[in-house]
Amino acid sequence: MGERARRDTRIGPAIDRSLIDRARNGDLDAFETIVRARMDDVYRLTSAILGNEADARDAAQETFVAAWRQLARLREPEKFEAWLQRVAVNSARQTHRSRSRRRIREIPSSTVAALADRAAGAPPDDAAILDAALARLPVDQRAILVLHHLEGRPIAELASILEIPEGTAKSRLFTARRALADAIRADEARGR
Amino acid sequence: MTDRSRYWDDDRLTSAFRERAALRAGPPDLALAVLERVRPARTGHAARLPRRSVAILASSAVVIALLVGVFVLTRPANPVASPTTAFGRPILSVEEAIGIQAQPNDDREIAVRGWFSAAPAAPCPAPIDQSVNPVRLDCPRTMQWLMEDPEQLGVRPPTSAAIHPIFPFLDQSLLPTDPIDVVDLVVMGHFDDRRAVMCGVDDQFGCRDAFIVDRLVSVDGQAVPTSTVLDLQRLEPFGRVLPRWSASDVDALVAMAAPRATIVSRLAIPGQRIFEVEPSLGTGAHGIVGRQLIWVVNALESGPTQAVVVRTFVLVEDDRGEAHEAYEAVPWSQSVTGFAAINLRPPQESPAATEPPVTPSPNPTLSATADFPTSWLGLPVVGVSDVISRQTPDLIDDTAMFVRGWYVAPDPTDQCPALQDDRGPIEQPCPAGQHWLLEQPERLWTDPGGPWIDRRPAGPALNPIVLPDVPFDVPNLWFDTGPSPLPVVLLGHLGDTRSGYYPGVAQFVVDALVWRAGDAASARPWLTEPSVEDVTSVMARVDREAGPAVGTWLSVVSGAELAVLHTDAPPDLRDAPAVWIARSLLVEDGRPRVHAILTADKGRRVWSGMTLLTTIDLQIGDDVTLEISDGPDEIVAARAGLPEGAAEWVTGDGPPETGKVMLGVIPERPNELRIAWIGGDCDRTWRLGWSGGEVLLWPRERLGECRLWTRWEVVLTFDHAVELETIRVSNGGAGG
Repeated sequence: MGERARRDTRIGPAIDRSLIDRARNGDLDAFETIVRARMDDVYRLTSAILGNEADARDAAQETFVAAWRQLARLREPEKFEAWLQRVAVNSARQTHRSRSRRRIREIPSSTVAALADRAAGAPPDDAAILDAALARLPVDQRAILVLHHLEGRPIAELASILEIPEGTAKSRLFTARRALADAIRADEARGR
Repeated sequence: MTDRSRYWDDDRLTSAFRERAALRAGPPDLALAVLERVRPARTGHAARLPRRSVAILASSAVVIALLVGVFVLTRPANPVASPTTAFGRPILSVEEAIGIQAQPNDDREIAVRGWFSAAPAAPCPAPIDQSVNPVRLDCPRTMQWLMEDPEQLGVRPPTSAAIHPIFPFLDQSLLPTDPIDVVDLVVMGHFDDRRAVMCGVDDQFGCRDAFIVDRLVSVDGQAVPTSTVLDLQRLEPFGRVLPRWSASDVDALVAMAAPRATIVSRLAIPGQRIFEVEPSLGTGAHGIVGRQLIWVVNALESGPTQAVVVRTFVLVEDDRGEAHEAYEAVPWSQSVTGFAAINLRPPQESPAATEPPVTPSPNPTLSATADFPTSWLGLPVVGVSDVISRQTPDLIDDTAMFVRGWYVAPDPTDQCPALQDDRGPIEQPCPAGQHWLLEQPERLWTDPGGPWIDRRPAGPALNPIVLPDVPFDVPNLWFDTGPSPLPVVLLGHLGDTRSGYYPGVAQFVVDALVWRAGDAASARPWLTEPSVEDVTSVMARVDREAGPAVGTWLSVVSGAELAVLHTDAPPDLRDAPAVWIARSLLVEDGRPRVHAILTADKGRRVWSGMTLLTTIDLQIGDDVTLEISDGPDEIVAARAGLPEGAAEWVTGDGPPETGKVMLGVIPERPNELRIAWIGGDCDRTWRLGWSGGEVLLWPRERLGECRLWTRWEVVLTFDHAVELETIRVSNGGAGG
């Protein structure tokens, strides 16, 4: 699988280092600025991994609460963005686990229209196909796909965020891609 | 196989992810909710609020408090003194422990400090799964917590970070039984317990997420002694067994097997109840269930890379109070643990802590270093650690690797029971039959006079799977003093698709021994069955059909053995008296892979797994070729057809890039099947697969864009009459 340098420009401007240092020292106002600057990004990440609004909200909240508690122990403030994404991925995992016995799949209101179109006979668009296929995947596979394809993280950064060797990151991404492909094919076969 | 029209490449995936993310708007009040939660925590208020109800509770806090009975605890002004390390490990917070819990298959031993709340005396529903497993999170364990912050819970869960601790057969007399009494607790334990594999599929999360406590370190700052539990009640006949051994006796026995380990718990229990502690032994393994009294002892020991590992010993106290049987939990594969017999001998003089690995002797003479090649056939030679770093249960990457290491052979005098047939050939044998590949040479035995391996390697090590059909020419490596490690380079891979069970994909499967100390491994074929054909003829056929490889290693097996070792082998090879297996190393898209190319001795056809490589090649137009793959070997001839009348035709849908395919027969020629389709001028090579009743046709090679279209027709002659109504056109299916 080729590795392309692809930085996602959806992440906003880098957080000022002085804000991070102040927040690490307990400055709540500085932390508030960070929360407001990064909340949309974190919510987008947890939402993409978990697939429903309620869980994504919980996971996004927990991300920043955990970040506030652990910020003082961040050894490399210059890697704040990757660290925050790691915390977000872990929060998403925790939220998913705590919901693991839920049997009802919540349909986010924002995708109801897309699903209505599908039920009406319109061909599903790629986002809807992806949505359905991701729901079949374990949360860890969703996370690595989201980090790579939505957040634009290359292999080296995936390894850093997930705290695994680069070779492992590559093979996990490979496995997740194949699982996604299988899920898409299975959905397509049922839809025929 | 050509690309399909709906191929999901990187760009399409990225676009779909972004489109999907755009459908979900961020809630505007989320930042406020976060700030409401963190502000009270940092300013000293210990109030905890349910996560989703911030806005509601802001106006109805009193009502909520009355409804759920929230009681708030503040931290003591002078927190009880607690150690900062336990067993040499830093003591983690509950939140930090949760970070480890989130890692898949992370069973490292950790020390954790938190606030313990016992389960309330509430009735529990009957469990759906009646089987016993000490690590399953059944009620009331699900109401027992180790929390980041002190809270009085009642029946509600904590609002701070928390985990479920389980204390399987530990002395809990110092722990409170009322959830009102919240105590500061320091414990040693782990997640992803090995016994979780025996939980049901639906319980895996619950079992793996439970924090299994191996040792209570302190309760409210008070050190806790090592736990000794005597649970002596028998099931049948009713009554108690009485031990003769004391705790000191037990410790002395364990010290024989693990002189550097620290005992953390002892349990005495009748053998018939062993299933409550070790479910795998409850199946009858080693006959433990029939023993009168068993001691289960856990000990902590520093392993490689400063990690602390748990060692579990099962000691049998016979009716005379003697010790003749002992076992230790050992890994059978990536995530399955069994128990292996161990030998209890008086401890020898403790070796110096810095004793280097011992060079085995006497013959052949080996040094602690070996002149390993750094590359082989142009590919890098990696170490054992590199392979270990790639072993994960979800790995399906079968990239081939050349791996160097010190090989230790299994005891040739020991016999393992037959493998379980339903798990496929990729399965670890019993411990006595395991092969070892060590990063550094080590002595794997404690007693030079005892010809068995009873010591784990301290450094990185693999248990490679070496199947009988693999070229593996090693001399006898077992001498009177034990097994001698031999420097080798092996060709092998992970992610073998023959694995019949999930952890099997993490096994390192050997394809060939390519180098051993002193010289390259023998280039002769590895023969387990007599063959008639000479090597040159076989290689010519393999190279013609499979293409030249970077390297090829040959072996010959019987058809019957082929069926066991290569579960995807085609049926007609399984009946052959002798089958050649050419392990061909190819580099595809920069990735080396080993293909098992199969051909019968003195045969004609060549397979790669279930894929027939031998084709009937037919020129159907100028620079247009049709490759016909005849799986059942029924086609005796093929020719390009001319339009002829009086044929009965049926039409079916081929793959999207092929379109309609017509099948026809002429009644006067019952052995012939006519196949017609429309192809473009850019389709240079077509592939037709006949699998007995089904025709699959697709363009294998397409150059540029098609502009002109031509009707092609071919005629296949079979060795039997064809019935049109029994033949269908395949559309390629989901996987192609």
